[in-house]
Amino acid sequence: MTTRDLVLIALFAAITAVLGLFPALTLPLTGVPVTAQTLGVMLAGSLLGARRGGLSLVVFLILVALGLPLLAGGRGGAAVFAGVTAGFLFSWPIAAWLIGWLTEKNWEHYNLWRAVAINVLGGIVLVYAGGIAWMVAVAGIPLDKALYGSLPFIPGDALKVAVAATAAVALRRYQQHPLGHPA
Amino acid sequence: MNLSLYQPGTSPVHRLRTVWKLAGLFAAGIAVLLTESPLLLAAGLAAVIACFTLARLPLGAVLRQALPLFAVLALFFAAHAIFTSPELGTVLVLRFATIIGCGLLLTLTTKVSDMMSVLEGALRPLAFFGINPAKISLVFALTIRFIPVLADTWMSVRAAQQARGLGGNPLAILVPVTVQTLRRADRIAEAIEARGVEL
Repeated sequence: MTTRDLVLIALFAAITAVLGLFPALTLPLTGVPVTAQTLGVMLAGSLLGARRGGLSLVVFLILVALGLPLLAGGRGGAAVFAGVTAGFLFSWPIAAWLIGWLTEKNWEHYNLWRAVAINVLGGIVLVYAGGIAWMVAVAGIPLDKALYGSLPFIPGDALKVAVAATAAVALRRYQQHPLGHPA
Repeated sequence: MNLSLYQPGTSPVHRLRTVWKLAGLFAAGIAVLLTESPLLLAAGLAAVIACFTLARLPLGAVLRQALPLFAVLALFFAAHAIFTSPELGTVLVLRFATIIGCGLLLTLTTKVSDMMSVLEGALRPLAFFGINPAKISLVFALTIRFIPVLADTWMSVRAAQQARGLGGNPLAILVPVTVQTLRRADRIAEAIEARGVEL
């Protein structure tokens, strides 16, 4: 890993932290503010690729575990990893890795629709699978109940996918893009 | 911006060495899985609460972290009471509450810098696999250093876009912040290399 890779990993971990400080999105119609941190997961994967994106989220979660209040609402510490919903947190680095891997594979023909599909797969399907599997396995909640309980969060996450995908496509024109320039 | 949950103090819990606190958390995590007796688990939770009193932490700081976690637990208990059985719900809630309590106690009584040095110690064996622990320490230090800087960037970009009437558009903030971050990453990397830091 070059020095630049290390700095990119650190700065995108910091972006994820900053997204927890400011609610970037408000759900249309309902006015419910949505924590924007999974936006950090999608951005890290879409811009840094699999390895750097995944590591960036690992760094972020370790800092949370060490006691920095970086999760939305100023939460942090070892306790959040013992909760009923900790599976969602553990899914973040894997999701960033998957989004990054798929983005790298599709980089030559990257467009808005591919970006949306990739971020839905990583940012919604994988994160929910991890979160729900944790609730079922560790907390003993029946599968169907865990599924229904997660549904209200889908609209916010769909909105985040739209924002992340649009940003990722717009940023592809950036000269010094970490994934390089497609031929 | 206060970037730590640590509450200074001189209690025995504060003075206990960080490694022992971490070992305690780990042991508690295993212990709660070994029993299904609500009585034993309640005794464990009582012991954790006793440690909180011993640590003399400000109640506000404890509640600020604990309330959101316990609100989820309350919902969780309700789900179990309705869909499985209140007995199972009680056992699981006691387990979670005990471990969450231990984690909270560790976080509130331990400086981030102390946790960091334990982490660095744990990373040292990685050198055998050709991974330089100094690189990992640099990444953590950079992240902590740049959270307030990026928060500033975020606020100034948001102010600029509000002046243009784009304050409610998340893309108008996210894209410039990301570009600035990518540029900044290149400058930082150049600065580190220009200073001849060998990584």
